[in-house]
Amino acid sequence: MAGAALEARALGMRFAGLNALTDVSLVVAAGSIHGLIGPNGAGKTTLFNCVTGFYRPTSGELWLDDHRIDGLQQHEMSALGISRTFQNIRLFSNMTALENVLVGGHSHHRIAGNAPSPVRPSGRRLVDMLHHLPGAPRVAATAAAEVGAVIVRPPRVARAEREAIEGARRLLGSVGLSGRENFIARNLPYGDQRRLELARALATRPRLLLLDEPTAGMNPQESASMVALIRRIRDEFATTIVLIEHQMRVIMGVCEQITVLDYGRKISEGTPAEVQKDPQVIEAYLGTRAIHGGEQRDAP
Amino acid sequence: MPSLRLPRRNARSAPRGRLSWAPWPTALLLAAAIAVPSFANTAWMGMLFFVALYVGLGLGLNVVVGFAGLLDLGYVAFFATGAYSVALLTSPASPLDMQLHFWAAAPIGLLLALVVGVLLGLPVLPLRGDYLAIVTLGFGEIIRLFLVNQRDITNGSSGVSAIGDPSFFGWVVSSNTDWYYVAFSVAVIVAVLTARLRDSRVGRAWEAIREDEDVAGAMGINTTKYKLMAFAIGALIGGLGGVLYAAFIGFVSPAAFSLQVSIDVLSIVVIGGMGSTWGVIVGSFVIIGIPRILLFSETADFLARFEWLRNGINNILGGLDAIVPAAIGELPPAEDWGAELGDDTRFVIFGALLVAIMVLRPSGIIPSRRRQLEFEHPPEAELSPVEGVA
Repeated sequence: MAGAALEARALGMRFAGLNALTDVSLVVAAGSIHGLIGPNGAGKTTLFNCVTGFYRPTSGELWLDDHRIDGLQQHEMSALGISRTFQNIRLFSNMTALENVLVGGHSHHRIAGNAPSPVRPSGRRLVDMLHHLPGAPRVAATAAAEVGAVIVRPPRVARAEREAIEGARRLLGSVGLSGRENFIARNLPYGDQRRLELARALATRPRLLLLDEPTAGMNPQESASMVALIRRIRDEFATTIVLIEHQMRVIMGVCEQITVLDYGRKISEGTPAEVQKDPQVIEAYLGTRAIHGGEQRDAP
Repeated sequence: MPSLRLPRRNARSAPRGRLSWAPWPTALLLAAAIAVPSFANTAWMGMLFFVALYVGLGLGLNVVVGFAGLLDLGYVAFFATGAYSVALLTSPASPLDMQLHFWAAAPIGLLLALVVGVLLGLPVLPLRGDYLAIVTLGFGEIIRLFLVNQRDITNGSSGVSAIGDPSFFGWVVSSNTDWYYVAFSVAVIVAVLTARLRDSRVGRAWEAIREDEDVAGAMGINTTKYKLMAFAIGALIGGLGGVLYAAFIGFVSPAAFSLQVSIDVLSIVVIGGMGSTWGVIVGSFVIIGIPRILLFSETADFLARFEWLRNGINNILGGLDAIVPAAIGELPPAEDWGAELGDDTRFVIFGALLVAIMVLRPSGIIPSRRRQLEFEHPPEAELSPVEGVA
């Protein structure tokens, strides 16, 4: 299973009087690492929030492979394989590292409440049949089945829980956090918190992974190891990655394609080399006297 | 130096999957609870019935407030639903006059409480924040007013009497001791079930929602569904408490289902320690047990020994009266102190007690591990790796 392709068609996000995104169209190729850059307030995180269901875009369409995804709820987006990390780390800070990752794997634990696994032929167990019920009765029946299953705890459920814990441990290991499973998340060092967020996002088995400034606040050494980790994740977990980043070294080093946003509009796209030379990009970052009347914008 | 690790006993290799319980205190409590009827008289057994009943109710609300972090101020609504279901369906004095068997009425009561919970939760739970508190607060009152006003169905404020004692395989549950054992068994069962829920992926999902609802959603948890599950389970347990209460008392009227019940149950959860089973048990003794104990004749006998203290204080007050123009009055007889406290003064003492507990132990008397973390260790600043932690 390779990563999924993301396409935005004329996407617009309007908050009372403010156009956070205007007419943004972009294509992220399946399996690529795609950079999203732009000055502060350009609409990068807003775009992420639209793609993950935090916001409902006010116009335009979003497609993940063949699924139209704009307007879906967060957990539905997650079920389609979209996951993310956050600019200011948002872990479940009073839960342990392991529990954080387990929450990420929530939809994949093979327990009555979840949709039958695509790998396993469905409709053979009674609890799988519940998922063929329509709408509300299905939710009610699966919720009751799940509560019953975790209270009675038959061997099948206990095994699923053990497997989930095993999987979570492996994930923690693969981001370099083995031995820290039982640490309370907020007591972890900053860099480890970023890694933990990444592990939690990976636990949802993403086909599209959105990373919001994964190296923010890191020193060059830590950044370099994060970049290596991102590359490894793309290869090992077969996922498409979209990356918001301010550190040009990271962007230029890891991204295959880049989209540049400014004031909620797409102003440029292409390979890192092309984008770097684009006069509009240079203008957006540094400002020019001719167009902005001497106004200087924040450089990254 | 803040400890990076959890305390040893909590550093479980598998954080979920096993019941996290303390075997010795549990065994001691169970032994004491089973043995106590041989020492206590009927009045004390009645008090202990209420303590056990409120342990059950508290554990139910604990699922909603402690586990899922939803503030429910109208828990009495589900309690009343369960109680009135039994009353109206079984009593010969009921306007419905169906005279069902208790065992037919009880499941209907539970189901009704569950349905009421789901119907109330459906429109509100997708929303965030304090809406739920306001809506449930209002709903608790609506239920009470419904019971008062719908005379054709509920007999209005005169209530429904003559609710019979249920029998259990030929054992008629009638004495206070019988009822105490029933309520105690129910509380134990509820404690085990809710602990299993907490230590499962369902409990983990609730915890994640409580910590950060947005992120929980982004991680694939259907937040509305899980919040509704917590709410429905809480409602079901509330209904169960109502069923027990109606059958024990034998008479229900709207006066018994005031806001005070919701407040008592919530106080039990908060004072005991949100999310903590032991906290609920202790909280129930404090909130439900102590006011009743104060009314017992044994308490009066005991307090009567303090007549000398009363005389001393009255002498001082009398001396003050000579100085201060306004009369301060005298203390009532020492043997009445308990009864006095049992009435209005109780609220003053209770208020002071609540404030004291919340100041001294902000996370409750026996907090759950995690709530303790939330309340007592504000988020640490960035920590560098510490030697010896790997």
